Parts: sequence; C-alpha cells; structure tokens
Amino acid sequence: MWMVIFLAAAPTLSLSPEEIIVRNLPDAAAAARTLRVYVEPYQVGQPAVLGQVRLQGKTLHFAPRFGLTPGLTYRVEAGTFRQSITVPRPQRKPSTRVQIYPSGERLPENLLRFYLYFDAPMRRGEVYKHVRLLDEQGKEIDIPFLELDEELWDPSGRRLTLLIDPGRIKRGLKPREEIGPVLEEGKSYTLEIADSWHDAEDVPLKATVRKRFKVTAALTSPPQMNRWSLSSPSDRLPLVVTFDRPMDYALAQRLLYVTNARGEPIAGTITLSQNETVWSFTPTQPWTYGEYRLVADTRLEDPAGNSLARPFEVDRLRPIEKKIPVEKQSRTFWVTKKDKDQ
Amino acid sequence: MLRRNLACVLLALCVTSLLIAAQADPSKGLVRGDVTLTSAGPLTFGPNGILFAADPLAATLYALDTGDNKPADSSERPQVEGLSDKLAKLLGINAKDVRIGDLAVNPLSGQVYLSVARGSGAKAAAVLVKVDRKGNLSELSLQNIPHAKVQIPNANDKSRSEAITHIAFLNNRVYVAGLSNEEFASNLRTIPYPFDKADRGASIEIFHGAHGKFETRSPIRVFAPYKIGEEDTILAAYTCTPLVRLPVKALEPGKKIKAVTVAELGNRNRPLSMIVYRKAGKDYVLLANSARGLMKINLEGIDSIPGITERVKDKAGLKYETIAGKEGVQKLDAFGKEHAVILVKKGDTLHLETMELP
Repeated sequence: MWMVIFLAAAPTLSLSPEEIIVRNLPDAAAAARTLRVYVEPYQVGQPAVLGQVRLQGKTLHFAPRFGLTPGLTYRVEAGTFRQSITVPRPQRKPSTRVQIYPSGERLPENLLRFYLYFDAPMRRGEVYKHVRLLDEQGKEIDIPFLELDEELWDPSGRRLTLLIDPGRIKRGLKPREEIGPVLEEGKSYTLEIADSWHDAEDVPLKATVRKRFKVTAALTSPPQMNRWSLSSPSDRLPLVVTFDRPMDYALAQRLLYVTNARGEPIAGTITLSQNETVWSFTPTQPWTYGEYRLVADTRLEDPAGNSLARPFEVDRLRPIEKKIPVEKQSRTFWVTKKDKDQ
Repeated sequence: MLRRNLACVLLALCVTSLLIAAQADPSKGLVRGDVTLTSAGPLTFGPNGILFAADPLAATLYALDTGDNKPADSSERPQVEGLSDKLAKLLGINAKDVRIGDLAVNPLSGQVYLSVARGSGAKAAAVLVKVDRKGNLSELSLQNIPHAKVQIPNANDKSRSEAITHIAFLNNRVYVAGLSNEEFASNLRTIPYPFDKADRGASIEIFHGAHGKFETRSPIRVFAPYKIGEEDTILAAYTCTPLVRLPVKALEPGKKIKAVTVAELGNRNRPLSMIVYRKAGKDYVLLANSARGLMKINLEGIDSIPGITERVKDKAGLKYETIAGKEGVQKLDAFGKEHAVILVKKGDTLHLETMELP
C-alpha cells in the first residue's frame, strides 16, 4: 500500500529565482520534449513563452528566456499534465522620488525642456499620462509636450527629458499660430508629476510632485561666455563660474569643463547651484599654480535651446554677425598663490 | 582548335567573375557571432535579406543577415489580431510592458520583422520577432548570426542618449535620423554600407527656414527615398509636421542644408511612419500621423512646387486626403506593390493588418 502511494506521488510545480521546476512527472525525459509554458489567462493559439527546458535527473527545469515576471501566472503543459503557478510579487513601499529641472521659479516663455530626475529606474511607456501642466486656475494645458513614442530617457532609465512642443515655441509655425504658445509671459503654471507613475519594479512614486513657476519674457539671445564671471580658485577651493543666465542642467555638466594650459582635461567634480546660474568645479587633485582654461562646447544651451553658437531661432531679416562656426570657446584663468602664502 | 576553345571558356569565366565582382556584395564584411540588442529601434531591409536594425541605447547600427532571402511559398498576407498581447505572452511579460519599436517587411519573402522592447529597468531587453505570412510569431535568433555593426559617432555619452526615429537604405548608404535627449539637434547621419571602420558616417544639420522669416534647427522624424525625375531625393517629415524635400546630393557632411517645405500637414500632430508608392502611374506618400489619421499625399507637381514660405492657414502645398477607417496606424511598410502592412492601435492593443494601398 505504501509503495502504491509513493508511485502515485503527484507532479508538482515550484519556483527558483530564474526557473519553473517540475517534479514527479512519470516520464520526465519524454515530457521534456513536449513541455510548453504559457502565460495565463490562456487562449487557444497563444504562443508559448520563449525559454529552455533542462532535464536534471527526473526533474524538469524551464528557464524563461527573459526570467520570471513577478505577478504573472504561468501554465505548464507536458503531455496530459497541466498546472499553473504564480510568481509572487515582492511587496515594497513606494520610495521613488522625482526632482525637476530647471529648478528656478521663474522660467522663460520659450522654455524648451524639463528634466525629470528619478532616484530609481522607471517604467517606460505612456509616461505622458502621468505628467500635466496646469494654468493658474488649475486647468490642464492641452498637449503641451512633444509626445514621443521613444520617450527620451537616459540609458539608466532615471532621467526623462520632457520637450515642450517646439511647434508651439517656434514663431511662424502653425501650431503656435493657431493654438498659441504653451507658456505665456506673466502667467503662473504648475507642472505636476503624479504618483500614479510606477517605477521599473512596478511600485508607484512616493508622492505626487508639483512645481509652480512664473513665466518671464522669452530668452531669444544666445548665452555669452565673455559675460560670465570666474572666481580665482586656489588649493582645493573650487572654480566658481557665474553664468549670464541659468543654463541647461544636463548640458552644463557635459559640455563645460576645465583643461590645463596644454588643453588636457582636469578631473574633478561639477556642481550646479542657484537655479543653474552658478557652476562650480572642484579638482580631484589640488590646483597647481599656473594657467588653466574653462572650455565650453558651443552646443551648450540655456533652457530655451539657445546655444553659445546660435539662438534657437534666427531672424533672417535682422542682421546678425556672421561668425565662422567654432566648436569650442574658452576663458583663461590663473591659479595663483594667495596673499597670505606669499 | 581545342586551345582556342579553352581560351574562349577562360575569357568567358574571367568576364563572368569580373561582372560578379563588380556588383556590390551585400554580405561583404559580415561575420558570424552573437548579437545582443539593448533597445528596440527602427528597422529597414537592404538587399538580399539583410536587415538593418538600430539599437539607439547602444548607439549602434547592425546589418543582420536574416537568411530570409527566398520568395515566399505562401500568398497569404500577414494578419495578427491582438499582436501586442501575443508578443507579451511570447516574451513572458504583461502586455503594458511590451513596446514595438518598428516593423519592416522583407520585400523578398513578405515576412514581417518587429523590433520589440520588453520591460524596463535592469531586466529590460530587446528582441527581433518574425511574423510569417500565416501570422505565426517567432524570435529571430541573434546567436551566431552573420552580422556587421557600426557605432554611431558621438550619439551617446554619459546620460546623453539619442532616440533614433527612422532609418532608410538608399544607394549603399544607410540614412539615420535621431533626436537627442539633451541638445535640440537636427541630426541626419549617412553611413556607407558595407560598413567601413574609417567612415562611420557624418552628421548633417538640417534647418527649417520655410516659415516666415525665422530659421530653426528641426529634427527630421521619418523619411523615405524618392526619385524626382533623375534626382534622388529624400522626402522627410519633421517632428513638428511639415513635409519637406531634400536632394540627396546636397546631403554632405559639414554643409548647412535648408529643406524645401512641400506640404503642411496640420497642427497637434506628429508624423509616425511613411512610404512612397505608385498606383495607376502616379506617385503617392502614405503617412501615418499621431492625430491626423492616415494620409495619402499626391506627389504630383513636387518637382515644380516652389516651397511654402508664407504662413499658411491650415494645410498647404501638396494635396492630400485622409483615409477613412484607418485610425490609429502607428507604423507601416510596403508589402509588395499593392499592399502595406500596418500596425494599428485600438484601445491599448496593437494589431497587425495588411491593407490595400489606397
């Protein structure tokens, strides 16, 4: 009797972190050839999950090509065997936060982009459902952003670039002619990032974030490097650069750097403060006395898309100085001994 | 006599081999090896079953030999009801976490290839899925596949990345349009094929100067090669709607190109996908849009149109009609001379259909 019960032990499904494990199948070797795994709810004709079957002794292991997905129920079929198993969803409290740039409370009418910085990778797809721009009365502005299927994420999935529809910024283009600009000088707006947005682990944001800002006149001229003020750094004190206006948060970290007199880049840490009007550079090694350069790639832009090389829009009827395009601009500065050291 | 015959045969052999050598070999430079895509970008077919696949996150363009280079033995036209749900089940994920990057029809076999992104975060992956003419889905294995790749210069750096919005193959060059997540650039790159390590392609800046007096940088979103008379042209739709024409011979690195606007296609609208086709002796563009439906644009007069330089009320330039009953088309590609394969969104679900060219 005991023997009969042992032989009739029912096949069972269990989970390892990356596999579905099938035990006690009567003829495991034959079952390995017919085993198929489907995602529930099963519908006739649906494709089986991609993956590989491995036979270990009398136990079958199915490793889905892209791992197991928490929350999904998998149906395993082999011969007459049919059974389902659900991968548990880890319970985690919402913890992901978002920060918005530009950080200022006064932004130009022709603002081109916001950056949303999250502290964990986010879920892609349908991001525009969770972002709203509201006017002073709390009324939603209709389609203010350029809704790109590709969604402009950085490679880590932690930063999204939100472009204000350039068709409603550029003068002479129909969207602006007909429905007007997204932002208007003198008015206040609120950018709202809703906590309905889920991170890559499918957990919602910790809280809804609202950024209120007032709109100032359009910024139509390019930034001018010769109007920036540079501090006199020494020892480990940073070089502090004060811009002629707020600059683009991401570009100011990538397209602005320090070299020595020979043009070799100096390693160090960049921080932006005072609503992206102040850029500080602290070298990894203490400064040595002598000549240095602050170098800007002319693609460096302000938040309205005006670069050092050219304004966002060029008025062809207004004479502008025709310059030979240069890819880099630089300012020389000196690290000297402080008075007390001399 | 025998010697003369032998000489003739040898000469014939020489001529034949010279002729073969003169034709560009599309498989030249392809090496077997494993390919791992990190993101699902645009696709387009080159000659002989070579599939060009862009991986925007890795800033890489691949040429993949699909081995799918024979005419189909089926006359069926691909049709997949609930494609996005089926892809989710194939890839073992929720349907809301599946994104289709692009579709391309292999002109030789009529099989459809999709670039598909699965999930977000650390477990994100991208695959190529083949849809046969019966509508069956299978993964195109990228293990030990004959391939070549080229890194797109300066595209990605630290947190900068570039969304590649469209690629096309013309005259042994791959044209690549992109949109950066940082600076507002207007990049159209041209990359020679077979890929050449020394020439990884150059970026061309396109300006839009046709509206009023203002001139701006304008990212090209989708485009299609088109011959106007004897001149190779690119018909392109900007991210903010106007349709423009660009002569291919003007697309030289370092040059500032101004495109000629040939049609304004309405506001609150983004172009999504386009093809050029011929019907009853006339040429048309079929353009899928985000808000203004599927447009059939008549290319008659494109060679003489002076370009729209004044502000226009709503639509201007080439005439177009919106195809009724074809709302929600996201992507399309030509299927033979009389049909197009379309990816249609209804609710949250994507379906694959084949339609007759209007």
